[in-house]
Amino acid sequence: MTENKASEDKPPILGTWNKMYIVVLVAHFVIISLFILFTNLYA
Amino acid sequence: MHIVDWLVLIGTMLAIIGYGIYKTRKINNVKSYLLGDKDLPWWTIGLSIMATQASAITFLSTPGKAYEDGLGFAQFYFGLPVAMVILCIFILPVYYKLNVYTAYEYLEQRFDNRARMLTAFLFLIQRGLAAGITIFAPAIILSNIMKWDLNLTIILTGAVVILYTVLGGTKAVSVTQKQQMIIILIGMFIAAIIIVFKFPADLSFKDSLSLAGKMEKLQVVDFTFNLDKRYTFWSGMLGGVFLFLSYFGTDQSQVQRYLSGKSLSESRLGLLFNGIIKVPMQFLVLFVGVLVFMFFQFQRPPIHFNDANLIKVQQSEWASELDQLEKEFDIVFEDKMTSLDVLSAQIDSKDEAGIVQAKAAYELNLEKDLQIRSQVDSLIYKVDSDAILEDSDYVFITFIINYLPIGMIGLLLAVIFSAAMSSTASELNALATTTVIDIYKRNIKPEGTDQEYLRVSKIFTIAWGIIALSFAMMASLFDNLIEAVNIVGSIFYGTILGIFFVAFFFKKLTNSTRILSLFTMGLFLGIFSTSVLHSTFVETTFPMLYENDVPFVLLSMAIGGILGYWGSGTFFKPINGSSVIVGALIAQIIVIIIFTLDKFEFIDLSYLWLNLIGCVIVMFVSLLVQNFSSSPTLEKSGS
Repeated sequence: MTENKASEDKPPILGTWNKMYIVVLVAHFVIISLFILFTNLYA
Repeated sequence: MHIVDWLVLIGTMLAIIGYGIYKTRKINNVKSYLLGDKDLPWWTIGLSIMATQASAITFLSTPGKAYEDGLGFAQFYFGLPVAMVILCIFILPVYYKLNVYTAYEYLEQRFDNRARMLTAFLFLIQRGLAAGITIFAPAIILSNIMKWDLNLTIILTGAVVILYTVLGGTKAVSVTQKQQMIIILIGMFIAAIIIVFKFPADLSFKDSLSLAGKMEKLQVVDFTFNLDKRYTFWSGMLGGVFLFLSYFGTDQSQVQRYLSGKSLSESRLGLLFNGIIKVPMQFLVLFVGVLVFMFFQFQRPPIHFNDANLIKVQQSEWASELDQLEKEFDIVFEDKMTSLDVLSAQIDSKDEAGIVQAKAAYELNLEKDLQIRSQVDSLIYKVDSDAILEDSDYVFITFIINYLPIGMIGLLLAVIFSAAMSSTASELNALATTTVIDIYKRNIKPEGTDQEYLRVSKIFTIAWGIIALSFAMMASLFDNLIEAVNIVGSIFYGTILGIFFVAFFFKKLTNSTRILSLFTMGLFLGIFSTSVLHSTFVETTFPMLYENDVPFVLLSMAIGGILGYWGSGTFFKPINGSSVIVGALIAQIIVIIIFTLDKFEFIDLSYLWLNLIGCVIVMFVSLLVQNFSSSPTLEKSGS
């Protein structure tokens, strides 16, 4: 695979890979927040 | 086991393996065999990555861990999504651009053949040992509980894996893993539902959670910054990132999974899918363990979960003592259940004083429970001083065999075998690929034909399979072998990651080089200062420092970050092969020394941090050696 082809790869949704990464990290943040909530709720 | 369970178990296994062999029946060249035609979609890659990481011991041990310690182990995976994003940005495009078969091929293109050999060799040692344990660990548990012959269980599991891995190569591994992972997720989900339905009629799901919470089983997140505490938010988010970067970015058993993707996009999506699903999946597995714990609060558990150990005592001169302890255990269990009913009632009435009193009564009974179990351990030790007394690995399988309905036992055993086979298949496939591509083809026979490499790949898959099986069968001869292999892994991963970091980020000076140096040096000094401040010497000599450690740790992190940022810019030189090899060897020695100091309790350090320490030392020493070395560097270029 050439470098050009690699850089042309687009994600199927959201348009850019940076947006995809942000979605993953935000989802992770939400999951950890729910864990914290869960921990506090049953502490 | 009921005939229906046998049919479910064997039927599920045959269907998955048959599908794998059918889908790969036309593979006739080495590229297809080792890279699987590069036609896999993202969901197959994602499930395959998850199945490779989740071995059978994950599904046997993890619920047992939650049974004993609660949900805190979930924090171990907190760094994983971050690592997935870093891999997608920096590492995956490089592997695709260079069109490599193995991660270590890249190191030759970046440094030289020596760096490639050193890293491939470290991988083969570490993964070769781990493959044996991946087969042995579930086999010992299943054979003890199911009364199967240990060696026969090892041989049967291993032989089936070797068969389909040899026949279908990488693609067989990936397509079977997809089915195996689906079975695993469905099986664990149904198990969770069944356990809830087995709770006493007057105990609702919500009440059971309230009780589990009062018993401190539901604490997922712990923000304590304590280096000797194994699972905290910080060790997971910081130490875990380095561990997962190393595991997913440089371990061929994982690299091979995503290199077989249809395109760079599909591989990226597979990794991100893993990043989103993995943490909730581990939470589910742990949560099943907490549910099993709650179940055994109202259903008398065995006095010791490893039945094989109990049988040894029953057949010895200590049988009457065990009988007496069983009777005492019955009484304590009844008292414990009564105190739980009281606690549940107090929680319902929201009477805080009553809750505290009821909890104290429960804890008193729990203490008695633990004392009796400890006395049972002593009896087992008297009968067999080599017996493994820790029985948490046997909790979930005991529940499966004794309390799940007919059909579900077969399905859950299929889950465990699927997990064992999926991890082992990836490991054998990766070991064979590294041996053929990085050693045989590169150093022994560079001019061979495609068919010859295909044949050799199959031979090496069988050879590594036999080595893993032999190691698994000898494993019971060694004490603490599982611990030993985990240690080997954590000792080597940091060094391997350091070599790859130098390869990726110390070729030319860029912002990435400086930011990486800022973070790693900041964390490194933070860990170092915490370790010193928490030492016995500081605790006794300077108690003020010990009690007010946070400002000092933050200050050292800031100094480390500034030094890293400034130093990497000021002293930067593109690092060559000789420098990185010196850096890797020195880092390896230092990590072993640190581990030894921890082992003999001179310092307190969770093994997760060894990954970061090894990595930083490789980067630092390589840069240092390059600065004092007269050997040529690569051309320096600014960002």
